[in-house]
Amino acid sequence: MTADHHHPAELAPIEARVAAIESVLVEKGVLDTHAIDAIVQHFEDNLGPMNGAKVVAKAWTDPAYKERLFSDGTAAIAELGFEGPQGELMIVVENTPTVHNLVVCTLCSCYPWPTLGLPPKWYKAPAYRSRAVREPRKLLAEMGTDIPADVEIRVWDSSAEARYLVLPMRPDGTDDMPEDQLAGVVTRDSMIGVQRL
Amino acid sequence: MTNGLDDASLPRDNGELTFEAPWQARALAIGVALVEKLGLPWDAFRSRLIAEIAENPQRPYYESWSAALESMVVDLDLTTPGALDAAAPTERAPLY
Amino acid sequence: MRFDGAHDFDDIAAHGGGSVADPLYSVRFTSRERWGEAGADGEVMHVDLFERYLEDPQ
Repeated sequence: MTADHHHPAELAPIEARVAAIESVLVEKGVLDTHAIDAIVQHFEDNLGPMNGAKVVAKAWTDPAYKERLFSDGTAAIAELGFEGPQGELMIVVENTPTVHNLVVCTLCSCYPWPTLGLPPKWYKAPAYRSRAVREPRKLLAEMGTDIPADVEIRVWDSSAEARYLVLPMRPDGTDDMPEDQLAGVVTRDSMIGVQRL
Repeated sequence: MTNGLDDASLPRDNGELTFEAPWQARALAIGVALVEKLGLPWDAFRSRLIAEIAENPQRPYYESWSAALESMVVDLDLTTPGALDAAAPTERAPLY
Repeated sequence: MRFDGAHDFDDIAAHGGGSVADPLYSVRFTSRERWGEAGADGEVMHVDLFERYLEDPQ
């Protein structure tokens, strides 16, 4: 894994550039390497859709919590310890038999990091970003999710401060499941809105 | 000649890699840390990211991210493109 | 991102975010309103905009 002394591993230009940015900022005293390490670790260890899944499972089993989720999503999500950058203004949107929600960031990649971690590649791709607002039903069908014509599709473009989390409908056959097991059935894609459970 | 990157050592999330390569993680963390440290609104970085993506829609995402980062630190007079050229390492630091 | 000549927003809901000077809105419009004939029924978009991007519908 480590480089041979006589043939140092070559850096791609982009790697070198990022390393240069870090080293210049650290040298100037603007940033601290350990602080950057900690942020990377935080993303790797603490952030991911397992967080959002817990929010969903609690909403399904606790009606009072669900209420709080809609009246102040940020605070309710923070009750479970999920907060921080890109989670400062959380809006939870509920799927119902007549409404299906879909989240996109048409201009870049805005995504609720504390609840879902980092976005998948396809979420950031030009095709998804433009088609989600242009032809969501068709796009979803291509992604394997058929939304009937009588169900309204609401697309939320995270173009400013708000970050969206879809509350999927609870699947059949889960009535007896305890909350932590319920969290296990909630997928990342269902919380973005490209999948139904 | 190995590239020093072992897929198994990169973090996984829901069966997918959180980052494809360590430099992406660095780029992300630098952006987050910088905005926070300087007390800037996220939009100060985000607007540049949007511009870079718009200018180069097919460029890999994290390369646009890095370009946005670079434009921000240069515009904030924290460094110059020349200083970045000079600071660019020629070999990868060992992973530990 | 301006909505030049904007008129008849179906629904503008003020979010909690933004600042006092520049409130944040979620602007709703239907696919038909946005894309005309290329749009589809039953598809609705919500775009978040700071007030400074909204034009006075005169």
